[in-house]
Amino acid sequence: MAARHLRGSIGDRPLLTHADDGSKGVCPQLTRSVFVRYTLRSLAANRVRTAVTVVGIALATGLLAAVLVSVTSLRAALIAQACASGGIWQAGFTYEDDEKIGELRAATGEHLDRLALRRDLGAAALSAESAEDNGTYLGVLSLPEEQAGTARSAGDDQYAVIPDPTVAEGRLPERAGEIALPAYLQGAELTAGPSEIAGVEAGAVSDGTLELGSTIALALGQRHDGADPTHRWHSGASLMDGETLSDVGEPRAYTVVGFVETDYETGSAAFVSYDEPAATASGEVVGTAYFSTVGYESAGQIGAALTSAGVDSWSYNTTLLIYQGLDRGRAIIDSLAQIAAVLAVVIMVAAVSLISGAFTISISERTRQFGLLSSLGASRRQLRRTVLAEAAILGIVGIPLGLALGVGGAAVAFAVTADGWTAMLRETTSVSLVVAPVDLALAVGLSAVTLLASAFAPALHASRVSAVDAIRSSADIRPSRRLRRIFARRRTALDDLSADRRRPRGLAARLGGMPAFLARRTLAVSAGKQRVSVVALAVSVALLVTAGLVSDYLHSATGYIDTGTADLRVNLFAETDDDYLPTGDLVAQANVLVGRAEQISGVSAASVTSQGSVTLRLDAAGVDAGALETFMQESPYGAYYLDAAGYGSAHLVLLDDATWRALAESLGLSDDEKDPATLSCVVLNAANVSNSETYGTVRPFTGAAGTIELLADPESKASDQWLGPADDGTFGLVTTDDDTMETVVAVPADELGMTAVAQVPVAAYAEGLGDAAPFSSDDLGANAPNVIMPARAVAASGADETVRQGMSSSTVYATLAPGADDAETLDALEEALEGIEDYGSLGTYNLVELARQSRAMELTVNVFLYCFVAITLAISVANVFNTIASGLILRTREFAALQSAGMGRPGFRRMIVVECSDVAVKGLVGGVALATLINYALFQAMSASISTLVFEMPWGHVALAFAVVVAVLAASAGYALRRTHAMNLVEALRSDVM
Amino acid sequence: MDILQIEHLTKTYGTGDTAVRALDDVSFTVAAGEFVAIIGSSGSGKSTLLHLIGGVDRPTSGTVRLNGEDVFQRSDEQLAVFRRREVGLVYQFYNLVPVLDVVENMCLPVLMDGRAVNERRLTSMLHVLGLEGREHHLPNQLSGGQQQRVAIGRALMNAPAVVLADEPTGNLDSRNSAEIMSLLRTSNKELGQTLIVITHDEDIALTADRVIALEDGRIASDTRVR
Ligand SMILES: Nc1ncnc2c1ncn2[C@@H]1O[C@H](COP(=O)(O)OP(=O)(O)OP(=O)(O)O)[C@@H](O)[C@H]1O
Ligand SMILES: [Mg+2]
Repeated sequence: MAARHLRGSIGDRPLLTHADDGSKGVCPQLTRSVFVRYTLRSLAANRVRTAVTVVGIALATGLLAAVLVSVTSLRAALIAQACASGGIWQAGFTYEDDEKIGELRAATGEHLDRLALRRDLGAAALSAESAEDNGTYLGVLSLPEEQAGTARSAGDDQYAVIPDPTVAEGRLPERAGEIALPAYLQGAELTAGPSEIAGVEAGAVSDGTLELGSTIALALGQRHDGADPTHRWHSGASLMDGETLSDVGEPRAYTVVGFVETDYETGSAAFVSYDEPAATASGEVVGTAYFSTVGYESAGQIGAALTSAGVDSWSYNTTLLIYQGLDRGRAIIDSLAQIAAVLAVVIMVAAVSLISGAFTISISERTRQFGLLSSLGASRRQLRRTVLAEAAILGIVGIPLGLALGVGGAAVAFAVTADGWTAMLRETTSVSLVVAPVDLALAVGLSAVTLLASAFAPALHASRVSAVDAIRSSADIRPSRRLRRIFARRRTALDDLSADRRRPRGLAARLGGMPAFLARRTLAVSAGKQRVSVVALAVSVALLVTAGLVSDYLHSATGYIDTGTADLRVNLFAETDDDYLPTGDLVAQANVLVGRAEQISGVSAASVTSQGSVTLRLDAAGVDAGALETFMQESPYGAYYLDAAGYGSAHLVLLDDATWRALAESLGLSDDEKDPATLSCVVLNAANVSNSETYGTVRPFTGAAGTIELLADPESKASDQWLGPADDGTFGLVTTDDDTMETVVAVPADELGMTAVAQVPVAAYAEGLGDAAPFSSDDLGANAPNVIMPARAVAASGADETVRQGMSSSTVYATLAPGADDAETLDALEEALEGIEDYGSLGTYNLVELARQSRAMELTVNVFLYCFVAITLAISVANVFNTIASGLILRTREFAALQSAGMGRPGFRRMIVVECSDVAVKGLVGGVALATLINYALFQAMSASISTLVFEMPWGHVALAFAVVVAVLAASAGYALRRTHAMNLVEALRSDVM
Repeated sequence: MDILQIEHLTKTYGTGDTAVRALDDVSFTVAAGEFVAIIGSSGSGKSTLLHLIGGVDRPTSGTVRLNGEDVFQRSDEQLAVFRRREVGLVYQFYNLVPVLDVVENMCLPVLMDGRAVNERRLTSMLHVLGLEGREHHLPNQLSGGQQQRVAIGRALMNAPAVVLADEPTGNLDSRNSAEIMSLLRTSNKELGQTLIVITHDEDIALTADRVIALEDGRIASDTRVR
């Protein structure tokens, strides 16, 4: 029939001729993009895997974008906050000669961004009488004035170079003769008379109390070192040793137009306008220049420019420089950057594993197709391009999706955690999302590189597929080296069978029968494909362990916020300076405080602690000398108030009955010890060795000492001697060596003849005080052992007098009544506790508010953490699912053949279980190895900031991660099997997947 | 005029103990327009020979010349171009790309070459092959015979000088088998295309101009039938 058609058609149609096809009629839908069409069809043919791959790409891109956008947003918020509060200046210096500014301009050239100058007009001395409340001097500074004519002075001026002072009342001076005074002078009267500086009369005199509109007369001079007049002091600085005032000019009258807040940078200074004429006798004025730069890569380069301008001392706006990345900040910031880098690498590795796994499978599934294409004349380049086109198509869908996901996710996360950021940044500004094109480009670039890297090996593989192997009908499987080795051992046709000829040989077959044998054989044959699954599993385990680790590390970092259980806190300090609450009975005194507090309607319960210090001694075996050494080296406080011999001075906290019982209960003490009438103590066995660079805790006690002795202080000590640790850590009566200025022991502790006033059994060495105590960690001593005792027992003991002499403050903790307003109740509490005999100043703390803030911070950390964990989990699940499910679905035809040969469901399942367990075990081993590496990298990053961190393998996380991965593996295998079973046998046997 | 010159062609698979000499010093020539049947027992090296002529595989030694030009002097890239332009290949199994439809499969070599498809030629070819109305079916929606016709259509679409078929009717019934063979023979006769067919079917072999019998990788006999 067909032949007839053929013959019949040859006459009139140029059917089978050699004539070139030329351009006669082109199928419109068949263009040159046959490979693109092929790719699209292949993607459509396996929708699940395509979707999983796209999701993987989107997740990886999203995670990268979110990390980058978050970092940029946070940095922008920090910079904005720093600029708003401190201005955009990066460095500042004082100068006496205006030419210095010209030299600065010359030295910085194009780099100079903005420049502002301030003039220091001098200081006026207050009369000794006025100085008592208002300080020795009043400095007078001009407002800063920005200079035009710098390279970029027309640029961004959202923030001042250095901000004007904050106006408390009135306004800032606008013309010569006007002045804005520091707010503390409002309502004060500055009198005439001798000043506190020898030989200097008061130069600051007001006409009556100072209010808006008042006049103040100021005679300004220059502050400098008495011995060295060229050594000048800033006019707003606090009083220096041995300084004097000279070059005092005639008094001038100024009109007060406003009152301003004082700040750290300017000190106690009044402000005049920039063009206020000089008023010192010599007419000299010291200038300060503040400037910002562009294009320098480090603070060092700014410093070098200053040096070449002949400036020999300057100060940096360090906070801003750190945020701008120009100054290497504290180790804590380095540490964060390192952690972010480790995470980015982990994300990249996970993404590469996920995506390349998907590609490898997608390509190996089509090995025969590639072979066929090759035999039909597809060149290697065309085949390679096909795979890369597949990557490109997936990327075109996945990457924008990921960007949207990442940026949207970050936006949501920042919106949810706005309160937390406000609390953490201690400013009312919140973090707003900054989507920098650079970040997006970086995320896209990194993802594209990931994608390319993932597709590269499969593309190469596809182009190397042997056409002959692909065409040969037996070419489904290329025997692996392992299989060839197995076959090489065979001698006879029946060598494969056991001696009884009933089953295949080998351990697997003996244990699991034919299914296990088949599974082992499959694993041997498809080692390459199996490797993909093993890598996927390993990466997933490692990824989940990392998520757990990051969670631990972050929680340990936020764990420092501890406000105790009370809602409100009022500290009452001893009235006299000599650390002494002379009132008779400790218990009765506490009752008075509790009584007053509980009278307030907003307070439902109150408790009282008193704290002070007491000298103690314990057995040397109870002290860990190594921990004390670490403390001395790491902490900012120097030596701990305890030495290796067991002598020391404790921070003593006395508790009322109820508080003691609650603490004893939470620590699991015996009934006898819980009784507040029994003399015992709890020793806090933790000392914080955090400093500005690193966090850490040490345990100063070994726990070997069962009792501690409280000692009465020595009867006599010289005025320049005190009880404490010397610079070498030895506790005793110490003094300052006049020559070396070091603290040295004058009389060793054991020669002081201090008598023991009480032997106190140690009920517990506690590593933390838990939730039962109302007080928080900042109620405790930082550089001394903390000893907690029941006040009742102490009052009844022989130590009563000694202890009372050491008490310096009491603290009232109040719990709010339901519905009571925290701020109002705190005001009422403060009022009720004022004016109690023997107590002086009060300090109030709204712990509810602090807790609210700390909760907001915790929420913030958790939101970001759980986002990371969730995405990590999603990547892991996608990874495992992809490799396991696709791997099984690829074998539809094989499974159908087994089934048609009579293999039943149970046997089938057993075969799959054996295969999957093999993969799972190998995945776990690889995962643990990988997780150890990541953990070590994180540990390295963290130990830059946590000095006492110990390297530990988080086996709990490993177990959990493995359980999750195995569950996903089981679910994936189940899904794949259901799908392969759903196909009928004939269909499956004919199916085109190999 | 000899279009094909095969000289001392040898192909060895594997090395050492397990080495298999699939083709052992085979030499012969084929004239343009000739119809050659290759027969031989299973494993005698027929497919291997066809793959070498088609430029799908490279020999261990020896040469294949098409129109006087040494096929294996070409680089891999040039060899790919050779396959898509100079020869048409038809196999027994697994001939089609599963995700492409009938038309796309047929046009594959043209499209890979980056050339335009002659629509009229395609239409008449579909007609001749009896595939009208099935243009956009995927391979697994076709019967074995139909699949094989698509493969032949693909081999002829480019109007190659040499058509190579490896047991093209191996898994077809006698009626389908006859149709396929007459398609191939017609193109051979009418267009003067050189046709080399491997077959186990004596009837088919007897319709050829010449029958070459292979045994253990060597030519056992070379008989001119007509
Ligand atoms: N890739 C290969 N690796 C190893 N040996 C091979 C390979 N391909 C073919 N052979 C061997 O080469 C010999 C010839 O194989 P070939 O496929 O050419 O035989 P055939 O004549 O086509 O057989 P059949 O009629 O069964 O198709 C056989 O012994 C075969 O085992
Ligand atoms: Mg063969």
